[in-house]
Amino acid sequence: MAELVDRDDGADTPHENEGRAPPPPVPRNKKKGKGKKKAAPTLTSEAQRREELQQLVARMRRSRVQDDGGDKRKPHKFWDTQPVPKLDEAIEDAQINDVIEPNKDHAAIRQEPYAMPEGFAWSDLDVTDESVLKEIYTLLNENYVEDDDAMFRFDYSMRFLTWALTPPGYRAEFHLGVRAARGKKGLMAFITGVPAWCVVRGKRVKCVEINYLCVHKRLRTKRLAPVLIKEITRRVNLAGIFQAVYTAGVVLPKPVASCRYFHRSLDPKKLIEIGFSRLAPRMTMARTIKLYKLPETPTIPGFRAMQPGDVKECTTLLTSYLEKFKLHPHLDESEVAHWILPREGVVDAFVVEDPETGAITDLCSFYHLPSTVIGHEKHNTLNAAYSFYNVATSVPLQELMRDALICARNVQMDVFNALNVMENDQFLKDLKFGIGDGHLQYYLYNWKCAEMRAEDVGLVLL
Amino acid sequence: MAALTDAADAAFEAAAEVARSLTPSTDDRLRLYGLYKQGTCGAVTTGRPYVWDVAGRAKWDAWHGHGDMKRADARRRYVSLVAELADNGSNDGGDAAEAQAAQSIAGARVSTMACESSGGGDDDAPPLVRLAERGDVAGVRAALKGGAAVDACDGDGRAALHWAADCGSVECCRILLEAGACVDLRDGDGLTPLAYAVICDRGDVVDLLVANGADADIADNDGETPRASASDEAMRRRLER
Repeated sequence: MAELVDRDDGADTPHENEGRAPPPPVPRNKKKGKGKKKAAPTLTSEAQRREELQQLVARMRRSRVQDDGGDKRKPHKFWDTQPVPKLDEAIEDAQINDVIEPNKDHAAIRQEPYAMPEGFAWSDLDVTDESVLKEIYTLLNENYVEDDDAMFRFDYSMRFLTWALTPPGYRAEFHLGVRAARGKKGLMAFITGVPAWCVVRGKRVKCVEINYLCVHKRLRTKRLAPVLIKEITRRVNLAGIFQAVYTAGVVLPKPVASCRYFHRSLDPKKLIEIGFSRLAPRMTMARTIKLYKLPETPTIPGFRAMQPGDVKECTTLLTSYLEKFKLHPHLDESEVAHWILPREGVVDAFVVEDPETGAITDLCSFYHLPSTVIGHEKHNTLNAAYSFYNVATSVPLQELMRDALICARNVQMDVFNALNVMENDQFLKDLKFGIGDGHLQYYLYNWKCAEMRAEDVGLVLL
Repeated sequence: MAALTDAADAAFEAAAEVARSLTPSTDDRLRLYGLYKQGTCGAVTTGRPYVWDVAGRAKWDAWHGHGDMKRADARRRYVSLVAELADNGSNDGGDAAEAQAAQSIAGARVSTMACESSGGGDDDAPPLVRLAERGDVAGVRAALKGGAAVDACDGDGRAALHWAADCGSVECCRILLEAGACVDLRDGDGLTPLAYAVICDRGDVVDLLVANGADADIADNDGETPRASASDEAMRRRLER
């Protein structure tokens, strides 16, 4: 009977009676709650209601200030202890471009690992060991980043992880895991760093690129993330590196640049079926499919897959191009060979070879990062290509990227994603990219410089 | 009264701002969405999204659930809901909020398409066309029973059969054909229902139309035929029957 009554209530006021929170203890809230339930306007005078609203506005503003001020509950309590600019700290002077904390002597760095919560232990992960790699893959595949609506979750392949974590000069001790101390000792959390030279506003800085911070879903309340960050920082410091670069979907203290994702449909029908994009009302699927249709094969003469023999020229091309940007990696030939040379199912790269001189004039590349489609009957995987490094000198960038789209479609990608970094703005609109709902913030750790625009960023993290 | 309206607007805007910093459950997110849309746009005017568009449908349902509730009422409810969720967060939801935030530190971000490509077309299409667009079998059947003209077109010259073929509803196509729909009707772009089924790779609809005598060689306004649009051998074979 009680159940029936509840159901009736639910039907009268849809969504309103489910999971209602207990009345908040503050008198002001109570009053507001009352006003809401007794909806009849005659019971509340206009003056009373106005007062209520004003209080509410004031309260909302306060909570907004609180959020911006870094109290966004516990996470910022952590970030407030770290050498990063405060969220409300305006850095406008372009001359400011330096460390926040000076480098420490080796002896001044904590020598022993940070303590783990009871029941957990640190574990150095050897990613060249297939069984360890499989554990990492599984942890990420089941627990890593999802979209806002929990429909897609990144599904980094094992080959991709090998590529991302073992560039020239990588250090095994920067692949840090947390295991359960007892039982099967399963992998419960993960964070990685790979060393890289970055150029920040013209200054060359030895960095680590921090990535793949992942905590098992069952342990999200254990506050493991801060200790993972502290421990990897300690290890990186011991190796003589004191700066880091990383990206995140959320705003933390404090982004050096805020970027946006854009998406170009390659298989619009599948994207609509899985809810990645939507068919506008009155729009036919047929017209949508025609809109995104691309030629069968690339159109630029001399366009071909990059080969090992192109590394030298591509390095020259890329290094001089990246100089344009205020934040970019400095890549030597071995790094270009590692990062850009095609690896099946991981990264694709194409060059334009001048048919007469044989010189390499253009370069474009994208990496393969599928996502799991969560709980869909027909489709399990969203195949996404992500724009990587592109340099156009003999053709407009837009034309080069059109051929990149064609190549991505030809390796069964469903969508081509790009950030509005570098000169990508030049082609996004004309090549029919749509704006995404995802922002990506770039961060520097222990570095202070003026904020930069998305188009000043010349760095893509994986 | 004006002051009251202003205060209400300010509360709504402030609430929308606060909502951004919340990490509500999926249900709460849908409640927020429904009230926000009702409060800003009024009642739903679009059709229910296709059955496979799970997220779109859930959102549409959340919005549609408010019927013709006044915008001001929806705004007020929205403000209350945000306040409720915000309180909840500071009481016991803090851990969840932290967990979510912690999870997204240092890594990439899954992004999906934010806005849909604009459709165009007219809103005064015959009801039968709108039902076929959604693949609403029961609705199509009832409309035909009620005497709806089976070949009535929308402003782009598309009849119910074009839309049913486009969305891949074999059952709607069958009912429409049984009711005497013209199988080779050309729309404003010169496309036949078969052209829609071929372009959208709807094999079972293609089979049905071909069995009903659809012509695979009718050129559209660009000179392209359904046969030429076939993307693979399997589709070409379907058209040869």
